[in-house]
Amino acid sequence: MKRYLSLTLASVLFVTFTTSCKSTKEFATLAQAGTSYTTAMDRLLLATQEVEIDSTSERLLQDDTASNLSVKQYRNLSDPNEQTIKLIALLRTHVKLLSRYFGLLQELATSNAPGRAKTSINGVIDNLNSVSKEIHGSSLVQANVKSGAGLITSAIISGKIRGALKEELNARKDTIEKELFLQEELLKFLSTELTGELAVIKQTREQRLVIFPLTSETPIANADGWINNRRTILTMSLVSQELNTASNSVKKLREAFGDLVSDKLTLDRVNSLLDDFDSLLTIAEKLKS
Amino acid sequence: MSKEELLSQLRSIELRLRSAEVQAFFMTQSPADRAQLVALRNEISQQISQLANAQFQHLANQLNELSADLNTGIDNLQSELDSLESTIAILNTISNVLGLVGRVIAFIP
Repeated sequence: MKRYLSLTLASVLFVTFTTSCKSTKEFATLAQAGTSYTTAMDRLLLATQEVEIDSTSERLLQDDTASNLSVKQYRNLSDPNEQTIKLIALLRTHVKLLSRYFGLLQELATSNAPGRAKTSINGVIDNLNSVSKEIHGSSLVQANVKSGAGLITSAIISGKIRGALKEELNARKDTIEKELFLQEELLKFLSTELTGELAVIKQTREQRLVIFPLTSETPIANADGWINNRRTILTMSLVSQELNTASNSVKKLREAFGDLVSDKLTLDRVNSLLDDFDSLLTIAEKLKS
Repeated sequence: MSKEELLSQLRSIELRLRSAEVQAFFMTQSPADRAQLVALRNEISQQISQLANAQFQHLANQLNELSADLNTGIDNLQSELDSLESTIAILNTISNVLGLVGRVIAFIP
């Protein structure tokens, strides 16, 4: 009977422990996906700022070749750039806040507190036994009970973490849903905006660096430079195509958070999100170069 | 027509006005015609930037409305992490006190 009870207790502990580990891992991976997304979004916002400024510069240079520009005409295009810079700074501040939120979720989900609590409780028991030996000449707590207490403490702390994570996500469910919906809108907008501005850069830069040197009477002085410029310019549209594809990934992140709250999320889906956000980061880096 | 559609239409017009063919054609025209083209392109490019910024502003405002609740979540998560640390700190203190008690008892004859 005693053996049966011990086995049952061990099974219950094992199930409690492994269940809480599994769920915590899903929280951790999804929070990691959220952090990757915010990193990619921050870079994308910075890249957008650069593209906006460069496209305006190309417009101004093209107009300057056709007619002399006034200061007012310069300001007409440059002032909105300054406003864009301010708005992007505002958006980046918000993205940093979101990043901090995901970062803390991940920190809580990957906390090593259960392991440290187990070590601490073992220390308490060891010292209790020392005291008991001094007073009664024997240990107060047996070795098997000590290992059980360690496991229980660890499971309780894991359960506490899991409970806190679930409670937090339940409390913030609507905000996260709305936040990720707006992030989806932002990414779609950035995708359209960047596609439009890159098209202007491609067209005007091609004229300035490829067509004009080629059609002018003097031969191209730096042939290798001309080849490199032409290659970079012609492949610019590929980056905006990749961005259009990547903009679907936030929708998947939003759905994954919904599934996490209702316990339907699988790790495979979250892992595929991590790959999506890595691609988004790569695109942002390409845009900046 | 929505703002997005208007923006898209303006972008198409701008691209046509900034094409190599239009540019080459106007380079053969009088300075007055070239100045008119530049003024028109300047106007369209300005409209595009202003419409895009209006959309940026709209999204930034909506996102900022969520900042307060995100901050509450951040405070909540931070206090959970602090509470875990204090649980372990309490366990460690108990362990240390017991260790001390054990050493004191060992000295009592």
